[in-house]
Parts: sequence; structure tokens; C-alpha cells
Amino acid sequence: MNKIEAFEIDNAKNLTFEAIAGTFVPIDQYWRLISGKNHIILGSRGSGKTTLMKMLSYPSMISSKDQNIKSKALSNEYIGLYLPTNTEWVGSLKNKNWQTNREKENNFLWKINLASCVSLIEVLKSFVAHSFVDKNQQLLTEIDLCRILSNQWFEYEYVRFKELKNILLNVANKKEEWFIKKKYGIKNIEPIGTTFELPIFNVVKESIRLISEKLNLENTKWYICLDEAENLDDSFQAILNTYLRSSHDNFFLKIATTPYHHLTHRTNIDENVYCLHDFEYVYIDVEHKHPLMGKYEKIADEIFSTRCAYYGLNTDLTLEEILGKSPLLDNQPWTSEDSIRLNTYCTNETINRANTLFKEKKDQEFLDQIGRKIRGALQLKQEFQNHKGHRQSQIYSGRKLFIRCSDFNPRRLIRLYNLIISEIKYGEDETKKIEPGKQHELLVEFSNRELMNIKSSEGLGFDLYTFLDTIGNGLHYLFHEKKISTDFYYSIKFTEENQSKNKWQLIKRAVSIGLLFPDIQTPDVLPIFAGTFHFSFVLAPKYFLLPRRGSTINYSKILSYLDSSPEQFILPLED
Amino acid sequence: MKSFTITDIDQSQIIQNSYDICFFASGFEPRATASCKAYQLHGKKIILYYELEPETGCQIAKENISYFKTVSEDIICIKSTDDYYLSQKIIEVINTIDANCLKVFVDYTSMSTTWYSTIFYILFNLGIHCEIDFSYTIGKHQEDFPPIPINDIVPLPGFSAVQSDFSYTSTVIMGLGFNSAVAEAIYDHMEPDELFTYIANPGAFENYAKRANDVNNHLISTYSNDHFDLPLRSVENSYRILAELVNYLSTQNKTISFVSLGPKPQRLTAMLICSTFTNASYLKTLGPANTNNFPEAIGEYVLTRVSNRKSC
Repeated sequence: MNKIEAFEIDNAKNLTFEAIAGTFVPIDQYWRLISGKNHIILGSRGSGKTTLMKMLSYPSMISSKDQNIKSKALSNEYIGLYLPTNTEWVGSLKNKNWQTNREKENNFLWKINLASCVSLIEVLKSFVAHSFVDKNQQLLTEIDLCRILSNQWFEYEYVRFKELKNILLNVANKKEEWFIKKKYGIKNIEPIGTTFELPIFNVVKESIRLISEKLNLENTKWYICLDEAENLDDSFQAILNTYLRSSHDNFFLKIATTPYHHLTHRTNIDENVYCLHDFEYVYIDVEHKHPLMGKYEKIADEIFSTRCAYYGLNTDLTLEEILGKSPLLDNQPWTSEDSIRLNTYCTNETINRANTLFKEKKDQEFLDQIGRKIRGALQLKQEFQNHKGHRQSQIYSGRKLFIRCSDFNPRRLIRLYNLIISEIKYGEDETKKIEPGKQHELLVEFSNRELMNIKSSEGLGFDLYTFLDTIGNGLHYLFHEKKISTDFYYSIKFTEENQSKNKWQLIKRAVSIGLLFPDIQTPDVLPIFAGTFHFSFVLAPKYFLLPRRGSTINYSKILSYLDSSPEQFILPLED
Repeated sequence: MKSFTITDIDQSQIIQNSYDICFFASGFEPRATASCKAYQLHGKKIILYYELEPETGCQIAKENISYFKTVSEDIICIKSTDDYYLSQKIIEVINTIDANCLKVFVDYTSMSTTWYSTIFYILFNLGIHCEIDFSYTIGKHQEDFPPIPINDIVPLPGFSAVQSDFSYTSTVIMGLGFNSAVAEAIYDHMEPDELFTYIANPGAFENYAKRANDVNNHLISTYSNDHFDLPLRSVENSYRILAELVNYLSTQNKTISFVSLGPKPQRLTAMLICSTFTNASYLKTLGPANTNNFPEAIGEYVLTRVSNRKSC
């Protein structure tokens, strides 16, 4: 596999269990999830939810090169099943608009029961392969297990996993046909797959009970990893909530969804489901906190190396070599030019403070309090002044900047890696470095596209684009048209007084696609209806902003600035 | 695998034919009546689908409905959202026709995919011999498409492969048109590990292919594993090319999803492929209807005969 292919698969959905295991870099939240608890994992698109879900499943854990993960799998204390809920699966729940709500719910139950049985087969295949070295023993165990399962699910006995899986798929196919033909009254068909018309997960739990004794797994805790639950409407989520609410000794749920898309706490019994009592939220988007940046950069480097190693590429290839240092983010000595910029672009207060520290020869304090914080911003302001309208710059370049502009979102990071790798030339004069000007061009285009693409995204496209563009333009103006200090705006506050349902919908959507990030004060607790949200770093190149956490400004102030002429806009730094 | 033949036909075969039922859509477009006028399908039994209540809204839709009512006294009007009623009407009408082979005409130019797929599905699952002549009036778009938000992507009922639900790999074959933002949004949503793209070439007009390629350049150059052309005016040849690709992918046990954003003959082709191959699904996008940007008819038609019997 060549360099391009190593990074083209930027989505964990489409990686095999082995590939996931070979490229997985565990984060802290991962270890929390391997437990006998129900979890709802919240992460924006591309944040790594699917990777986590797959890495919780037995086939990936047992294939892992990480000994801690592998030993967890070998202990059989927990076994996970992964349920892929792709576009087609979810779509087939939604494309039967002639059904009543009750029929739709029954269809959902049926599908999820059958899907969990298919997943069980995948797990058992992997379990048998890793638990028995002797091929004969593997075969005999497979036959026994298939007999047990097929006697439970069907009238006939099947003796191979592949055969059993195909029969399940065949039943699913016939069920789809049955729905359509029943709708059109074409011909009478007998009901299909009545075995799966049971309460949620009852079929697979019974299957597990039957095979546990055979495999010495009586004490094992099982969990089902259900991905992309944001695509399920609230009536289906209520069914899942009902399961969360009920007590289950050894069978748990891990549900992955985007933030704010656990749509309801309602169940189909008389009580709601409660966080911390029936389940826990686990928020996995990376928080844009300065002390953590170094750690995330290391992980980003690791992801790059791990992918290179897994796909047999030259592991000497580093991001630093390819991209070099960032003029905006890497520390560099303070120069006389920087001092000129400071006097040109900074507020009087900042200038006075700097002069005081210079006079007192407190060089280190100057660097810590002002220099390091503002140098990049000053360069950016000057660069924008010099290149207005032309955009031929080199300022958005360097390893740190590329990593930062991914928002540490794995999918975004890997897409950026795709751009990087495809730029590297081959041949006799192969170079490993991408010129800063080219890096700038790539990043600005990437940034533009991240926003452009949402125009057609589900439901809110245009409005969402306008909303984020308003914020971006506001932050751009505040940064470039006003004098700055060591802090500048990069976060937006929405207050209840100025909030509306429509705007809240837009905020939730922006968070789900990773273009706004909620400010988390309490771990795993997201603000509701009002709060502070951080503008994503990926949009910094588009609006010529410095991708760094900054101060907070009220959204209403941004709007009022856009409505009034710039000269009249008064800018208090603290809100 | 279902069995039927697909043949490109010409206008003379339409004119000489005697249809048992004709299906039209009144829609928002002037093109909606073009084929009926061209082939003078007067006096036939007509089932007409309309988007709007005739009393309200679009003037063109009202004119179209009025025109169709002059064409036949034997006309049944059905709202576009009521595909169940459509299916019942089809079955009811067919039961009144005494024919060895049912001959059906469908002008799908202004028709939703749900409608003509329902017509095809029912007729080919009733256990009767039938021959459907599909007609598409080629038009020329004057402007580029603004991005249209999509609300959802769902499998077309009756044209989906359940294997897709359980596949850990994803192959998408995407037909591209002039709306690159929608194509990119769908790609972003589905995140396939393999993407094949195609455009209509030769297309509706002279620089169609260049325009389509330019508009979709980013998707094609960044994500597409292979990009190829399908002739707009031949569903028969397009079907053959796509069938070869799907056959090849099937040998690798891949499940395939079709997303067809280009002109309707290519959507028809994709639908027929998904009816043939059990590992292929047709995904349709749900979103607001385009009620503004209508192509002008250029006087050409794509005519396709689909039959489940050698000769009728």
C-alpha cells in the first residue's frame, strides 16, 4: 500500500477490526468505557467515536498490539459486540413512511435484534480463532456453537458461522421484501423472522446465555456498542433509554452519538432515564486547553507514525521534517521587528506594560507575560495588512499549525495528513518538505471547504453557514481592525436572554459537526441552551485568525458590531 | 437476480405502439408535457401525478394538468405523495385490462424517483408480462445550481441490499450532476472507503461534460477511485457498463450503494442495476424540491424499453 492509501481511509467505519487495532492510539476515556456500566459517548463528527466503539469490541481488542488492551480481551472479563448503524441501516428505518409509529418501532426492534445476532457471530468467530490453537478444536467448537444458535433462531440447523450469517442476512432481505409487498398488497407472504420479534436484545442475551457455558464465559460481562445513534429519531432512542433504565446484570449498552443528539430522556415506561444513575455521559472531543496542547501534539505525531508503520511506510518520515516550524505558533526569539509590530498593533495598555518590563530589564517576564503570547498575533496582523486581497502568504504553515487546525479531531487530522502526503513528490529528486507557501494554500482551501460543505448538509445547511460566517467575520474584524492585547476573542457567549430555539438548533448542529466546541466546566456536562462556545481552529485560516483559545465575547455584541459602523463600535475586552 | 431486458428504442417505436396505460407527472416544468405532445398519446388511459393542488401555486403545474385533461377522458389524478394509492390504482387498472403483455408508457422527466420506481416495482412483481417504455425529455440547464440542503439519505424501498446494513466496508458509485455541494455533503455523510464517480458524457449539450467535471473537480480529484463517463442517451449501454463494474465489485464481496445526482436516465439505470443485483442499493436524497431552475427542452428524448418478456 502506498503513501496515499495509508491515509485515504480517514474513517474508522471502513477499517477492518485488525486495521483499527493496528492504528489505534488509546485515549483516557477509552479505559473508562471498558466497564460494566451503560455509557453514552458524545463526540463531534470525526472525533473518534467509531474507533472507540470498534476498539471496545472483542475482535479489535484481541488483535491489538497494545498489551494492556489485549490482556483485557484475554481475561474475558468483558466482551463487546459492535453494531454498525450505517446510512443504509438507519435509512431502512426511515424509508417506510406508510408505517404507523408502532410498526416503525417494531421494525426497529426487529432489526436491532437481528443485527446484534450478526454481531455475535463476528465476535464468536474471533473468540474461537483466538481461544483454540488446534484447528480441529476450532472447527468442532464452531459447529457446536452454530448448532446452539441456529436451534434458537431457526427451525433448521447450520454448522458454520459463515452459513449462519448468510441465513440471517437472507432473513433480513426477505423481511424488507415482505414490508414492500405488504405495503402494495402484491401477494400474501408468511411473516418472516418471528424469532426476532422480541423486546430489545432479548434474543442475543438468550443466545449468550446458551453459549456461555460452552465457552466458560458465565462470569463475563457483555456490552453492545451501538454507533451513530444521532441518526435515530427520538422514539427509537426512547426504546434504547428503556433498556438503559432497566437493570441488567451482565449486559450493557455503549451508545455513541454527537453532542446534543441524545434527543430525549424519555422511556417507554413511566420513568425517565437519568444520567449518573442509569448511564454516564463520556465526552470525547478534545478540549482546547493550553496545558493539554503538548500532549495532543504528541498524540497527533503518534497517529502519523502509527499509520506509517502499519501501512509499511518509512517511519523516519516525521511531520516536523515535512512541514517545519510554524511562524505563528512555535517559540522564536523576540526581534526588533516584533517590537515595531507591538507598537503598531497593540493597545496602549499593552505597549506601556511592555515598556515597563523592558525598562526594568525583566526580559523573561516580558516573554512570559507578553512576548510569547502576542508574537504570532502581531505577525498575523501584519501579514494580513500586507496581503489583503491577494492571499499569497506563507503564514499558515508548520507542523504545530496543521495539528492545531485539525482541532485534534482524528478524521480532520487524517484528511490533513492526506493533503500532506499527496503533496510529497517522488522520484530522483524526492523531497520530503512542503514549501510554506504551498502549506498555506492547502490549509486555507481546507478551511474554506470545511465551511462551504455545510451548505448542503442535512436540514440547516444555509442557516448554519450564515451563522458561522457571521461569527467568523466578527472575530476577524475584532482581531484585525482593532488594537489587540495579549488576549483576543475566540469564544462566543450565548446568554438566555438573547437566545432563541432556532439559534440553539444551529449551535447544536455546529457542535455536532465540530465547528463550535462547548466550554466544559464540569467533566462530561455540556451547556444547555446558553453558554460559552469556542470557534473551531479549522476555520482560523479562512478568517485569518490565530488558532488559539482566547477571550469570550457575547454573540449579541458581534451582531451589533456588524449592524453598526466600525468606528462606533466600542470594544471592551472582558464580557 | 431479477430478469428483464433493457433496450434503447426510437420515437417510431413509441408512435407505433399501443399502450394500455400511460403515466405522466404534471410537476412544475414545461417539459412535463413535451413527450405527450410529441407522440400524440391521445385517447390512452392516463394516470397523472401532480405535485401541487391545482387550485394553488404554480401556474405551469396548472397548465400541465389542464393539458393532460384534454388528452384523455380516461385520466386518473393522484397526488405525488400518495404512492400507496398509486399502487392500488395500478393493480385496479391492470385487473381491468385483458392483455397477454401489458404495455406501459412512463414519462419520468418530471417524476419523482419514488413514483417511477413504484411503477416499475409493482409491474415487475405482479407476475404478469409487461413492457415499460420510459421516456425522458432532455433539457438544458441555464444556470449553475445553488447548494440545496439535503434532509436525509434513505434506501429506495424495493431497491436496497440488506447486506449493506452489515457490511464493514462501503463502496459508493455516485453519478454527478451540477450540484457539487450536494455531492460533497453526501460523501461527507457516507464516508465510503471506495468511491466511483461518473458523469453523463456525451451529455445533454455540447460542453456538458466539461461543466460537470469542472464543478465536481474537487470531489473527483480528491476522493474518487475511478471516474468514468456514461452516455446520457443510452440507458442500455449505461446499464451494461455499470453492470460490469458491479459484477467486478461483487467478486470481491463488496456491497454497493448508488447515489445518483445526475440526469434522470442515469438514475433509471442505477435503479435497474439495483433491481438486478442483490448486493446493490439505491439511495435517494430527501430535501426540498427544486422549483426554480428548470431546463429547457431541446427536442430530444431518451427512450428505453424494459421488458420481462422477449416480445410483447
